[in-house]
Amino acid sequence: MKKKGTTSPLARGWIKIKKRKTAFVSLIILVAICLLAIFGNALYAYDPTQTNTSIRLQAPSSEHIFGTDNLGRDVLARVLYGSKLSLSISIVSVLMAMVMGTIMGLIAGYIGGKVDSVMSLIIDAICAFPTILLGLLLGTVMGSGIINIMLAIGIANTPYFARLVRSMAASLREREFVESAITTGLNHLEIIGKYILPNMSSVIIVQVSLSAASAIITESSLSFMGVGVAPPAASWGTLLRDGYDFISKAPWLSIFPGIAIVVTVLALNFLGDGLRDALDVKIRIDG
Amino acid sequence: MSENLLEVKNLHVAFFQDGKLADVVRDVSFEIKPNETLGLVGESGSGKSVTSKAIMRLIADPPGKITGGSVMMDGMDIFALPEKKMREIRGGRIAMIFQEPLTSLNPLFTCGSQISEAIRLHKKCSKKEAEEQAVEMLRLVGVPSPERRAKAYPHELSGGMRQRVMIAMALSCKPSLLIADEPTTALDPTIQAQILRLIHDLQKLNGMSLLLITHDMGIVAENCDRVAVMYAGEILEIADVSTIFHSPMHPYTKGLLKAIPKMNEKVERLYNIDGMVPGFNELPKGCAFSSRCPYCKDDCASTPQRLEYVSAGHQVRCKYCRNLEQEA
Amino acid sequence: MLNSIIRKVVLTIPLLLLVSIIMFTVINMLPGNAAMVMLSDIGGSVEQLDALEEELGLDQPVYVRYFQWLNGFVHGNLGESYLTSQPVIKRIQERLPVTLELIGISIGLAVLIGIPTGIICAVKRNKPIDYVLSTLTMVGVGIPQFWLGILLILLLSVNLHWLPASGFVRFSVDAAKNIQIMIMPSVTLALSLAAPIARQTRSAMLDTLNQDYILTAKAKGQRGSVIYMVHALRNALVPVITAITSQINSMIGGVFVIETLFLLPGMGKSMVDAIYQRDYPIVMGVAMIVVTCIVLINLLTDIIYIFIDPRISLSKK
Repeated sequence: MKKKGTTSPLARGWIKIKKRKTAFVSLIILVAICLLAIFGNALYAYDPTQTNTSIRLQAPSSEHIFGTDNLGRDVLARVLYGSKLSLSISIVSVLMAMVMGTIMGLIAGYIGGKVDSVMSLIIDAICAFPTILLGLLLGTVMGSGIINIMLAIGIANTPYFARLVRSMAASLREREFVESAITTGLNHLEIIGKYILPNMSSVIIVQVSLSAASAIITESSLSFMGVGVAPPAASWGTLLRDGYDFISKAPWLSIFPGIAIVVTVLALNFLGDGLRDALDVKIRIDG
Repeated sequence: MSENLLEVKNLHVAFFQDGKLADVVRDVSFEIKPNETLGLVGESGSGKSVTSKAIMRLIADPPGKITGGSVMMDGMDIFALPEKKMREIRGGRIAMIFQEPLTSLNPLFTCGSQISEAIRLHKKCSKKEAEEQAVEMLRLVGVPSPERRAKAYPHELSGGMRQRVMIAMALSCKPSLLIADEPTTALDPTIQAQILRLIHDLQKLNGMSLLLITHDMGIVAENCDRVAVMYAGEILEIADVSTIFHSPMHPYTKGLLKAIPKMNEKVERLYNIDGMVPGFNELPKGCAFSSRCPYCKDDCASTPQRLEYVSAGHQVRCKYCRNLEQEA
Repeated sequence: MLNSIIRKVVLTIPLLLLVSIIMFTVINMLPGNAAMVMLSDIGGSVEQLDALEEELGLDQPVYVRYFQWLNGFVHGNLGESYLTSQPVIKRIQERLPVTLELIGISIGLAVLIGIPTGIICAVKRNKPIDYVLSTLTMVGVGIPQFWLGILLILLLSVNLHWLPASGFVRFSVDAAKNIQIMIMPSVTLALSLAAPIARQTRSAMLDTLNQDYILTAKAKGQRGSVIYMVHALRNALVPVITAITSQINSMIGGVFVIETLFLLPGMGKSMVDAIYQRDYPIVMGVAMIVVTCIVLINLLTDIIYIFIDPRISLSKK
């Protein structure tokens, strides 16, 4: 069987992903989580904001399978409700980081020279900040609005994309097919659009998947420390912070939102890992 | 039969590929006598290296697996030995050198320490004695100022020097068989001849047998006593070197010989064998070469061929080989 | 070799300057300054606010304040806390030992857990133990540090009553009590660090075990254990050290979270508190020290590489 020369890296990746069980299962889990986030509350019997002090802090039961919180709200409904924010913050912030990082990386890597030195210095400087610290600072500066927390996490993730794109752009720029494209009279934007970006799309896709996972962790950590999402809005992180006050009386408040985070993050990491193997990309989840 | 140093009988090796077991080496048999040089020739991927690693029991399992046959060395059944005994054979009785000397030497250790490591594994001696012997070995393989080179890291030496270091390491324990897997392929042509010369001289000096694996018929012609031609995991023809070059019987061997450029003949276009080596999952039931053979008969692809004697010391895996002369 | 070390050292100076500029700018964008925070408790007037701002030097332009701060930083003076008038350097001296203890124990534990786990996985590749450990490390990478801490508190404090969840005591005051209180935070941080270290060790070991020189070592007749521990591990060490240092960043991030969760009075906690109190000098001083440490650690590892791998100094000349 011969491979068609016209298949894009994405299409080839899809074929390979289907062959890899863990990555494929992860993808299905992620789709399910997204569907639950969108439709879950509409389908579930309990209203996530409905308080009822007569059923405060009830342990998981057939009635409330995740139990109830200190205001008598159903925890499963709360977790479903929180997933909307947790997921959208993760997705939006990573897309922001991808766009900003790709632009920075392209400028540094494609132009090279002094521009590269300055840009790399900026990227290194942002990288020197722990993500949480940057998130804490930016979150406090900009206030705890949802848009602001997206921006904060987005900025904190930008240098990782920028570094990747920079090194790929720099090496692609030296490749023969780019040099021959330059001689055919294409301008730089056309070359970037036609030759540079498509050739790094798979690397960026893998990084998106891995960054989305770390963004969920960052968001929940910031919210847990009180800088992220503020009430009445709720994310998995705020659920955990609110639940922590009742850790000895109602441990389920601290367990279920955490499981939601771990399942999502694991699925994203496994998918990223699978994609990396499938697309033959050489970056790592750990760094 | 005890006159043979090494006897490989009906060796089968399989590898996992895409979840399926592919037979990478099939029914390989040959023997090597003391002081003899056997050339194992074939294109890349024909199973030469796998065969040599199987002799050393160095097939990584998984993904590889020795699925049948036996290897006798000095009358010992290699596949039945306990691992500890096997380690004594590796490096002690059978030594090996590889194609790419740079990657075959550990980059973080000095050349001297890598040689003395081998010495200390097989000889009872102090660290200092081993180091001195390592320097002696370097001198023996023609490394200039061996004391200094012993302290050098592999990346500080040239390709030819590195291969000399590999040879010094392999021969440091006076093995009775040296397996040289494409020892000169990665080297410059001028260095190639020097290295082969060196191996030849040391072979004479130590009284050692040599299994020389190569894809280069020229190297075979100059260095080997006997030749085994491998294709897609099978031996297609074995004979002494003059028979192979002057009266080859198998169509594949003939093709290989036609593909060698000759100095004194003007050739319009160099001959090459049509088609490609089939993948191990798409081999025909019968003769592996049938898909490319110019003399292929109707039943070649469907009936398995056996390696049969056509004369003393000359075996061919083609039942039509005697009739080819008339056809051509 | 000396040249490349010197060049690396020189290059960190503009990096640190840029870091401090970014940080100073960001911090001065914080809404509401300290004067407002300080007066909001007692409900002061506009005149009082102006007076206090002048006293704290807040009426001057940002760049003037930056150069004042930079001048102080170079001379070891990081200013004073707005709230307590305590010199920032004093606060750091007080808090740093707690954080260093936390980090020290955690790195030690993480290396002790992570590297052997990675080696076992690589040596027993595709065997059941590899699947189990690899899955565990994957889970370890995916767990938020604070939630891991919560789970440990649930298990060890709430259910088993073995360890206290908070109530810090200095090592110099009561060593046994101090160790007891440090166990959970350190284990939390260590586990979240050990997971990526194990994964990196595994893949680095697998890479090296595929190298030709491993085959050479086997062909020499070398024992498996020596091949793994000497020939492979030393070659795998560079990526493993990279893994450990690339975790420095997320580890220090973890310090902020874990000190907050376990109420440890270290650098992270004091920084988080200072952010809420708008105590800029503390925020700026602590953050600058933290980031400087990160930059210096990265510099140090670059230099260590040169000593581990004789090829690096050659190739980067």
